[in-house]
Amino acid sequence: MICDVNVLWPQEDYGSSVTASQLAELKNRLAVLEELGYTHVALNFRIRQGQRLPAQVNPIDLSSFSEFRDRLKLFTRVTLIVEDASQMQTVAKLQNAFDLVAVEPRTEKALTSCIVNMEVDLISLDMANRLPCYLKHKTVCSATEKGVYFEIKYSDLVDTSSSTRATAISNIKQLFRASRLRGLVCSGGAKSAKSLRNYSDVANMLVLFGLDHNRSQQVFKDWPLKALLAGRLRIKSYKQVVAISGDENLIDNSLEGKNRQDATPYRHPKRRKEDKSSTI
Amino acid sequence: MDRKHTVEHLLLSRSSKFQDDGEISKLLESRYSLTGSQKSYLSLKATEGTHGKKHNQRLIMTAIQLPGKQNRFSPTKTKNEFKSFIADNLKYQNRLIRQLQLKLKKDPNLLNNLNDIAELRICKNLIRYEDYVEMNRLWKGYIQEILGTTNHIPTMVSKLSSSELIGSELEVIQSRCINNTGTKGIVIWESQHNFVMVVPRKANWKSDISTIKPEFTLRERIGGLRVISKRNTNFRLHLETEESSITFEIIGNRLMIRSTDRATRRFKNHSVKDIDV
Repeated sequence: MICDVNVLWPQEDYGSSVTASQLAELKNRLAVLEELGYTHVALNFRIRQGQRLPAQVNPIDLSSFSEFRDRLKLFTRVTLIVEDASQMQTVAKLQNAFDLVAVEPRTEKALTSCIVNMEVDLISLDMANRLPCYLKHKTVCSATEKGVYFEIKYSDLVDTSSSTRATAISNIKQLFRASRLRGLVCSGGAKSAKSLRNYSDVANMLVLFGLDHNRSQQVFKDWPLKALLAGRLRIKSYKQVVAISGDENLIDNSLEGKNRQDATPYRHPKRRKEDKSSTI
Repeated sequence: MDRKHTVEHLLLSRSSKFQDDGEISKLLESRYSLTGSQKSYLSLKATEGTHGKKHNQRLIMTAIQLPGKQNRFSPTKTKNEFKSFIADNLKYQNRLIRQLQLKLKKDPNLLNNLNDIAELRICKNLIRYEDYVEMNRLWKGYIQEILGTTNHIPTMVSKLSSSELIGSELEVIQSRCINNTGTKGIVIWESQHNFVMVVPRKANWKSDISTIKPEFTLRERIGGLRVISKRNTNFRLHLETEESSITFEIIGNRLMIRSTDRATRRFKNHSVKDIDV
């Protein structure tokens, strides 16, 4: 089970819509990912803070990717770009609509309040630019302790100018130092199919930056799955105690309806009922 | 007057029968002398009745509880009695397996024509799943009362997390202890770390296989009690109502609280490091 939890969704905000060519390009990227051996893929919808949320919070419709049904496990993810730490009420609304909730803090205050106050699964720092602050071990590890994972995007290292690459490398090394190599997730975040890489190539590169071999694998396998599990359990369980059982395991989302904001996110019983009536 | 008989003397002096002290002291002297007109001593002889059985005597002993003995180690305390019930039965099951193995060595065809292992004489003390089906029926009524007619799944799930699970039928779907996986039975006790289940004979996940004839181990054949740890184990709970059937999944790691505390507890989300995917 190899995960890529960051496949960019073409939409930038709620106002715009996805064109057919953009969708085709996205499917192209997914096909390449499948070829590279990935099994769990999360489509990432990035929004800026302060937007008005429409009634339909989740614009990603997984039913339009029906050709990938048996090939890839698709999930939805939202990344909220936080600049003002005081206005974070929107997260609660997003939590039940997306499988994964990530934040991208742009200031130091936003980073600390993300860790302390919010229930998020991933914290995605913008590695291509200067980090908002010096990463302290205490802050980063308190997040890891809570079960929040930090994201590294390899697209910052591929397909960019050499100066951004240098910044990204130093930022990644800083994150490694602050996190003591725990609680990291590596993902793609590529804008086009040609900058996607096989996970073992990226793992080798991370070893070069100071990650050990075992963790360089875990960054793609165990840890993103844990992040997915936390996100999925928030939707389908009551405080991680009793969950609605899917067909496969706890992170399975194949039975979910399209609009997850309505009161019953799960319509599990229906299918079983049909089965029963058919046997009678 | 004899100093020994002061009390008797005082008592008899109150009686109207005796007029003076001389009469009383005379009586007392004659009463307690070894010779003379004293009353014969009461002597007890064994009667020729039946000797009471030993276990009868023990029953009487348990019925009469001495006040000094009632501490937490007392064997008559319900908790201790239940504990020894479980321990004895587990021991009995293990012994039974060993006995059956020996018997099978002598006679390999012993179990071949047998439909139900409980027909064997040595298995007659086994705990039977059938006796506990009634408990499950009661629990189903209880859970239906609790859930009511709600079709809203988040409320159903939250109510289920604070409800009683004794009497429910659970199935282990995932466990780090691979021997426990697939065990299915009626819960008869829930402690902080364990579920005690009653497991049917020869009926678990193997009986769902249709392509090959499953082979059951002796342990599966005799069924009985199982103590299953909640740690690193996920359970499946299947609820059927008239309209729908819903399957829930209980995460054992988050349920490691005593059931009395669980009823009032407010659960929180934690890091999912300890939950297996």
